[in-house]
Amino acid sequence: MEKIVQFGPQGRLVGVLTGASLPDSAPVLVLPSAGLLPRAGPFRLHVELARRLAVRGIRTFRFESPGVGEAPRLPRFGSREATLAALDHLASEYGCRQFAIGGLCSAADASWRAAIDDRRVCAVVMLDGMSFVGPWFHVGRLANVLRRPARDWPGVVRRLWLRLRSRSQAGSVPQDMGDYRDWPDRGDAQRQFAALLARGVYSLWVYTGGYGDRFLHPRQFAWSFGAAVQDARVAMHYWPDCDHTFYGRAHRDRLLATVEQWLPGAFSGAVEAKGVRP
Amino acid sequence: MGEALTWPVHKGAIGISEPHWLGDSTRYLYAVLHRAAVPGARLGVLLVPPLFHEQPRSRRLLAEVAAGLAAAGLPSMRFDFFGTADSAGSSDQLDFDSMCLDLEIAAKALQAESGVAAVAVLVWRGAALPVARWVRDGAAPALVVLWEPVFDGAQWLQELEREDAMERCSPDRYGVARPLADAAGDQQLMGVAVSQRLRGDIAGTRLVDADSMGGRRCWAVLRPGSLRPALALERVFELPADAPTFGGSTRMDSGLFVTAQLKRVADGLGHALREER
Repeated sequence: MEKIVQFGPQGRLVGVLTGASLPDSAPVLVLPSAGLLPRAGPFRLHVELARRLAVRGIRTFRFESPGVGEAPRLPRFGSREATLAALDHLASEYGCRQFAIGGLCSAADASWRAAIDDRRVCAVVMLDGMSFVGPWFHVGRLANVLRRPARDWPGVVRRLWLRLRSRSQAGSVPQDMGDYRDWPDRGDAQRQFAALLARGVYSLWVYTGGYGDRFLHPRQFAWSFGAAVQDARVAMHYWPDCDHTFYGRAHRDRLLATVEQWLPGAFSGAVEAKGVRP
Repeated sequence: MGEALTWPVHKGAIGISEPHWLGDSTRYLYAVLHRAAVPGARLGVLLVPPLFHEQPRSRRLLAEVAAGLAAAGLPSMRFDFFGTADSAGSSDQLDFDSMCLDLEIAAKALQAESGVAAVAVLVWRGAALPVARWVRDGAAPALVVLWEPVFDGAQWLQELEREDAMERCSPDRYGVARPLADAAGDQQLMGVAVSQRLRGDIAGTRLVDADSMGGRRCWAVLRPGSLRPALALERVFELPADAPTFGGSTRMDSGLFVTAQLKRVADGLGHALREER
């Protein structure tokens, strides 16, 4: 049976620990909430993943960041602080020693920051996480346009013209999705990536077709993070047929199977990198 | 039958709200009790969440309404149906029989833990349909408050199926790449596995007259200009123009919450419930 856990300032944050009856030595995957979605995850993804991992001897802790779902807003205590508080609580109350952290979108951002901040994190799962627009992004965009039937090209040209016109009227470069996410710049991201690898951290990255504002070509991954992505402890998948929140059952099944197969190896240090080689 | 669950002792409640499991160890429901800020309430309020994709979107809305009712002196309880959100089970196990059982468990727990003499149910959207079955089967809440209820299950099911078909091939959702071929056989509806039994339960339920709610007293919270049901409604609370809308989006950034004007309506509802004898 799962366990309700209260943690954080005055115990005001709530999470659910799956696999609570597993021994203290069992590793744990921590899943912060994503965007405004409650801790069950998009279409209950976190719940399903947690129950599958429990069968494999891995605990999972899902929680809502302050201001999301039923979690109260807490002064000077956001998703970063909540994630670190979750790690501390799981360590002190449940004997957790080995952590993976992961999530979708803003939860991926929180997971990355926690991994940087906390040496107890040995793996990260980044779903539509950090990515940097560069030459391969534009190659991907051009390829998508060329793939369209010729009858769509006038609409493409029109939308491009409207976009360029709005830029010139605004007098500035339009805001990038990165402006709404908590990301380092590309140089810092590369240094952080290398530092995590040097510490032995495994990482699983999944980019979806619903992330088209940021990721359109698998070679963006190496361009974003450098040669470190060649390490065997790094796995990257690009699924252009999937949307950002895995609406389709088949897409969720694919994601669940991928994480379920990858994570045990990441905890044991024996994973063989899979996925598209950047 | 699993091990019965007793009221847990937590290290510290969240404000005056307490999360806990209901039911037993094989069939447990996530619930949160919002204890009343002042004593002496005769009535407790059980908040019944909407169904499918509307449930996660409205989690914050229900939490804020429950907290407001508790601040007004009404012990309130939120819960997740079996097979949804943080409760046990899978979504294909959800049907009207399971929901009626959950309503019974939650209502009894609210009375037992808060000591109130009676329970009102505050029911959101499509949950009006299983609640109608629950009261027709003999449940006796003191009052049923319907918040933007779905009146015609068959019509609503058709709307959801149309919406789901659009989502499965939405260019906004899937960008340029073609989504998977239509997978109608996957039992999914708005991203959730919905059994044929539940679809039949929904399609077979309409709220058409006073008998539809088992003769129970009914109030409603409705949007201005919305179709009024033939139910006998003792009171109607009108939603403001900026009230968050249900239905439609499954986007992860489309959560619903209490706006300033909506708070006035919710406070008025709370005051009226507090006055109930």
